[in-house]
Amino acid sequence: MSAWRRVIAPLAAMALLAALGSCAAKREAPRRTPALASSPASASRDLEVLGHADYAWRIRPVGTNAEPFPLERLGGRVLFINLWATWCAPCVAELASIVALRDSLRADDVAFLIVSPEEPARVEAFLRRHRYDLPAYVEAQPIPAAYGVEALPTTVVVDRLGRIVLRHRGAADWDRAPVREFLRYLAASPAPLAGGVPE
Amino acid sequence: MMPRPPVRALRAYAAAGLLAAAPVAAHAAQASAETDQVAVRLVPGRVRIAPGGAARIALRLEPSPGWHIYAPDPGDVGLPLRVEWEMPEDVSVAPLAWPPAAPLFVDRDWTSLVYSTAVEAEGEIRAAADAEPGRTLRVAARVAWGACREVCLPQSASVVLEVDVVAATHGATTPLARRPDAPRAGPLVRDASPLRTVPHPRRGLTPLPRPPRPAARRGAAWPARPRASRSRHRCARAAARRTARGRSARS
Repeated sequence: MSAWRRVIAPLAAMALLAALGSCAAKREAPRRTPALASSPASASRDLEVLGHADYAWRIRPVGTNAEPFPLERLGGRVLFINLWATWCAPCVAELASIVALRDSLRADDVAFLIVSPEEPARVEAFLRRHRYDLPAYVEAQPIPAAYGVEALPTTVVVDRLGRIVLRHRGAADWDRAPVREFLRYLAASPAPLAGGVPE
Repeated sequence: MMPRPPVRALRAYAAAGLLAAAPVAAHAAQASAETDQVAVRLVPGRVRIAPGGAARIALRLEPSPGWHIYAPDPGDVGLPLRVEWEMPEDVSVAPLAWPPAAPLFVDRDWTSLVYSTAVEAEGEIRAAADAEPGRTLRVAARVAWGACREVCLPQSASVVLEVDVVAATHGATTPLARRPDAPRAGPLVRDASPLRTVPHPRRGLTPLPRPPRPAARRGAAWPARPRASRSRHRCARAAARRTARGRSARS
């Protein structure tokens, strides 16, 4: 049963991503269905890789006095990175679904980051005013081209091996079962070998 | 005072190549410029003004079909439209008067104020009394806006107005005369009805699939949001107040 779930999860995610494509300005997502596999590792190899995360990108937490840090600190985890801004209406429209998705995956090893290019105080005031409980960051340096951000919102999912396996431009309802299954599938994949994340 | 857009955002996305996806094309005499999403133009591109006189000008922005730009006061959420003028000391530009923007439903009780078709903001350019006739002065407007559809792009462009300072007997454009073809009141040029021009999520602004909850609403194209009408009314009231303020200011 477990093996079947691991197979069905990516298939369901592919179906969801196809549905998202009808309503987004531009979408890049795995288009090749993962081969049926008995282990997450082999299925993971079959995911279409859109690029590799640039872990040198430095972000700064909002609402704390923490110093900026490179994304490398989160390497080895599944990253759900949402690039947004407080002035971007489509970005704001999808925040609630990201909160719900994050809440449903608290038990899983998925790191959620919403990253804005704005000033920290502006982002913090916005989230506090509208009571969005999300791990918010601002860019300590412009986002590297590797993430392919050409407009807002853009959401990028990075697997545990540092590979970009989903890039979605435009707002979406993220609080959906196929998305959860896809992220859980990625989180259950083997961690990278000791020695750090791949380039 | 118009709030300043997050300049850092513009810098960051320019550096990331975001703005490169929307190159600005400047046209002859630089009175107009355009991106793939928005065309900007100063109307007219050249005026003749006598020392101490003035002329009416307009800044026109026209979003491409399907796109909208936020108003200077963008409502609950949006990137404020901003205009910065650069000019010699011999001329001055009065603040532009923007028509009321149309409310755009975002989510729950949030509403943006946007222009989804061509809009003209009227202003007045005045030559100093001691301006020297025979000179041509260049007045540049740097316009920054947020263009959105399913995604948003912070963009900017510069357009230039040439001012010929002429003796009063050489056909200077004073006193002020309004161009007869300029759009007047109303947020939209082709359709001033807010009810018919408000882009609704059902028609693609925020293409979020229907949320799965609550179960009772399943089957609808988009869940009925009881607070939406209230916010639309609230927004309409705010727009009416701005219109009234604008009229009183102009009068």
